[in-house]
Amino acid sequence: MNRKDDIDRLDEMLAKHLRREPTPFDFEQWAHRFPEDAKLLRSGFPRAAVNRRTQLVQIGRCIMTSRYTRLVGVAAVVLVAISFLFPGRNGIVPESVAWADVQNAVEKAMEQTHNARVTGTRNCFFSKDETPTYKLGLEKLFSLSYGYVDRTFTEDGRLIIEFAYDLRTGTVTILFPTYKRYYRTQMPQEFHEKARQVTPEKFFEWLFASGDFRKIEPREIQGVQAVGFEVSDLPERFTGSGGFSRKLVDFFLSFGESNTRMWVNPKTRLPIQVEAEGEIKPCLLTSYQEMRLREIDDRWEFDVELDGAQFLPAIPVDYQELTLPIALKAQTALYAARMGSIAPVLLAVGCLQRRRNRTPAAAS
Amino acid sequence: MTNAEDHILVRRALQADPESFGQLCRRYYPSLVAVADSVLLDHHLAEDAAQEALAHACRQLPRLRKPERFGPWVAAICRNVAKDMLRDRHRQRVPPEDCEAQERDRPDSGQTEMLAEALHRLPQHLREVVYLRFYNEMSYQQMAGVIGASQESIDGRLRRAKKIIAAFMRAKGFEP
Repeated sequence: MNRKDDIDRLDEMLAKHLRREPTPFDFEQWAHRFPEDAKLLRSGFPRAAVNRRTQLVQIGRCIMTSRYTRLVGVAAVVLVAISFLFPGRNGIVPESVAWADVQNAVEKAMEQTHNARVTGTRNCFFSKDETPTYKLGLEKLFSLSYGYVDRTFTEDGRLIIEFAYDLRTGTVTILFPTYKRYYRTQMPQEFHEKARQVTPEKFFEWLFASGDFRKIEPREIQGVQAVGFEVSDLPERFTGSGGFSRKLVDFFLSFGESNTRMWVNPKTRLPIQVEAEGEIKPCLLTSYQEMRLREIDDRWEFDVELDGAQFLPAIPVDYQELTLPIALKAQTALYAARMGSIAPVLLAVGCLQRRRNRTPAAAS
Repeated sequence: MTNAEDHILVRRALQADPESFGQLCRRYYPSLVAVADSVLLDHHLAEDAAQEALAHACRQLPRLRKPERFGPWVAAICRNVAKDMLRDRHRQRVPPEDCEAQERDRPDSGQTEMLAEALHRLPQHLREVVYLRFYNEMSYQQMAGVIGASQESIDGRLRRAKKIIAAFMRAKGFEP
């Protein structure tokens, strides 16, 4: 049976398995179930805001006309101010989410399967234009038992690069499906031992709280009034604490200014979106061109089931090994692992760039 | 279903016209149930999640910056509501008995169970595309209005999902 028949049969099976009659929506029933929201709709939203303002004015008047209520009112204002200054777990406003709460929530969310999956987009800009030169999709898998996988896709879903670090064996594998090439190496023992001891809490602490970070104004993200944390020296943390030669780092991947923001749901204390934007100076992985990278990780799933085989992927038989000078091998692996999600995309972009640069020459 | 219409309905809903919000609800409710079901794997809970998501959306409506993107916005809310419900259910350790009951009723349960497992193992963003496509036979255009991605991207995701499902079933000895 050919491939098209297979897909047609799979379509039939999926339709049979999932098909449901469209569920009619009963607005009256919904309004009955959510009376406050229905009331909001009936009254009109601007009027509701005015009502709240009127109520506040009335409360203010009441406070200022009585000596006791004035004292109680002042005490309440002081308490609110303190809750802003010393945020705690049970704060009354979103701003009261502290970084430690996020670390704890992530640790707790991963306590059953020790896995997480993140998906999003990576846009690469090779000009000042607001339209990205390359729009890429991404998928990252984190597992305390198995390691780390980072996949980069083209906009139409084709896998262009896969980076995998297997925590059990210390093996780093990079697959380039477009070129049918692969690179595989062992991580130095010392780094491998350190990596095995990393917990989500430690990773998040290193990522944000190991240097300066600041809280930013809450913003609506995916329908949630999210709390934001920002760091502007994330690449420095990768290179600074890694003990790598600066020359080597700049040769492969030379970072300019960058900004990383993490948006957290104040209710669950879990990240819902991470945005990173930064300049990459001319280096090997950008084909010696300036580049701007904008990454948005907007889907976070914790405690997911992951297949351990993905972290040490089988090399397809028709793939050729990519050779690097021996002296660079160990440092490259170490560096790629340190760079985590950033290195694979730059490798991918480097490949795309080289391919694009080569095309006109080949044609002529 | 056009974005311009969504935009007008959102504006009317903000001007004390509940029926406009009702229209938006009727338009997106089936897709929201599919989105929630792809997270919860339980149709009845998914209906609850979709209704809850619409209540959230109603409260947050004045803060919606791009009313023409109401669909992707309310779908993101629904995804978050469903994930919260899933977390609560994990904490309470409630087994998804509804799904099991449905599977038992089917005559070719071996293959159906395998398909259910393959779907369960898919990454959530791919499972969501499969559910949207096959739940109510939505077109790519309709799916784009809910997911907020291009039709090419949706096609790519769907192909990837099917490839993974087919590979899983083959590995388990079932030819799709």
